[in-house]
Amino acid sequence: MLTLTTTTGAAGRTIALDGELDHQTVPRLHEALAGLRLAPGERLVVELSALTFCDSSGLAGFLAAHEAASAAGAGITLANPPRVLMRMLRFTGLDSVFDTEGAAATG
Amino acid sequence: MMCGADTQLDPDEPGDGEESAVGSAVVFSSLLEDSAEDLYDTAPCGYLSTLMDGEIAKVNGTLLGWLGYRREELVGARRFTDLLTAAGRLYHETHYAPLLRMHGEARELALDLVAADGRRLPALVTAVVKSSEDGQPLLVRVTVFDARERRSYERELLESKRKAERERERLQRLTSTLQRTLLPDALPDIDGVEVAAHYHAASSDQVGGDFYDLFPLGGDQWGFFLGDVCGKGPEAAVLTSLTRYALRAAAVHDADPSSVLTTLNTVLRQQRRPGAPRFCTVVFGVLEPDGDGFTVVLAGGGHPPALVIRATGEVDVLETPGGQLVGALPHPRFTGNSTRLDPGDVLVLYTDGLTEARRADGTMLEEEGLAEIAAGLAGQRAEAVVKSLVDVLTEWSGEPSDDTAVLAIGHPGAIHPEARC
Repeated sequence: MLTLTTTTGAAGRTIALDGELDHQTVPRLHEALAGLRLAPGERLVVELSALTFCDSSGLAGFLAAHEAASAAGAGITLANPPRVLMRMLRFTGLDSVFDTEGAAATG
Repeated sequence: MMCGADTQLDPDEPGDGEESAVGSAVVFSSLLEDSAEDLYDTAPCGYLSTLMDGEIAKVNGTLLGWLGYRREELVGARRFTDLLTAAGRLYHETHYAPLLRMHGEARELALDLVAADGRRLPALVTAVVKSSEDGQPLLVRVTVFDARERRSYERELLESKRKAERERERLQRLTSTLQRTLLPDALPDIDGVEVAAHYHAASSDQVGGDFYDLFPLGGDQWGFFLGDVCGKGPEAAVLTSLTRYALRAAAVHDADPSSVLTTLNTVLRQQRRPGAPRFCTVVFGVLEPDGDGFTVVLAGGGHPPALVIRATGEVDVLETPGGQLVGALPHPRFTGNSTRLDPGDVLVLYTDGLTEARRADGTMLEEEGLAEIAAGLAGQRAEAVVKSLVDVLTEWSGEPSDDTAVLAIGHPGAIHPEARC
């Protein structure tokens, strides 16, 4: 199960992920991001505090999102990634690829 | 308003036209079904009453028609069980009769009735005991539903289920065959080295995404790798196959671990499709004899760090900080590390199926937990180390939900006797 919610605030657009990101749900992330049509210079915040599970397919989803945003001249920020996801980003060396904010302590 | 049939049917009776029309329809239909006896005899289901010993006391015309008997051939002449097949009589004795005795009813029993000409009538039978006011059982009332359509549907369903099971078995055989082609048949014998491996695929009908290998590089050198591809199933099998051959071929030309990973990255990038990154995490290394030990040079591509369990009881974590996963980025960074295996040391490579195995309460073993456990395995040989780690995994999470691979390369040498226990 994955719920995607898009909101627009003063700082720009945010897409919040609530639930599990795996090979079954990752196409929904792709669709949602494609629907947003990021503008050059825009920075999309991907809010992850309610993400309960993420596997390698989920990671692939974030990578694809990152590539698509870069291609559009835009960027994404992973906000409040859960500790498990931070571990995954650290091991895969992707912590230097993604902009993160509010990362949980990696203990 | 009066609803009596007489008043409603009286054409002289004044009244509300619409309401009386509705009332007339109800009354008219009740007139059509005016005889309880006719309803019993020609109902669209079979009715049968028996005495408590099973002797048929009453039967309706519908059932007589279905079975091709005359009433006098059954009533007072046969028992209900006489209408059943041999198997049905057995079922009657073991299920039907006990249910009636204990609960006073038996519902929706699938039985075949045998007609006068020997035809079989698949039926659904429900029986209820009628008792006297003082609770004495008097007779058994039985309804019989024609279940021919239903039975043929059930047969189709059963056949479909069997077919699905056969297909599933075929898929599992195919998967395990494919899985074996993606793993080495047997690890090679290397002089002065003991190797052991464990592989667990989380699903029996999907090829796992973990892989490992150990192979000669020429001279005294040996190449080894262990990793984890993104995804599962056929896509993962394709990616695993590609990754294994790319790593082995790359190492023939230049065995420097970071160069090997860079070549793999190029190969995987050539195979990628838009929006579907194909990547893996992997540790690649080279083992070479050096005096009374071995040197190990390795590089990490976004994979959890290898461990060396020292004979002395220490555990060294071979960090490859900043090493990035392979195939995802155009210009990834791979980080090298090196160590020496002295007698009694064991190098352990593993996938995150081991460190991210979850206990019932959700806690994971993690790298720190693994290192602690590994410290307790000092002095053990490669095979014992792998077995202990698999035991830990099983104890930690029961049936692991993720693919897991472990490869241990040990230098048995002279093991410190005090570290053995």
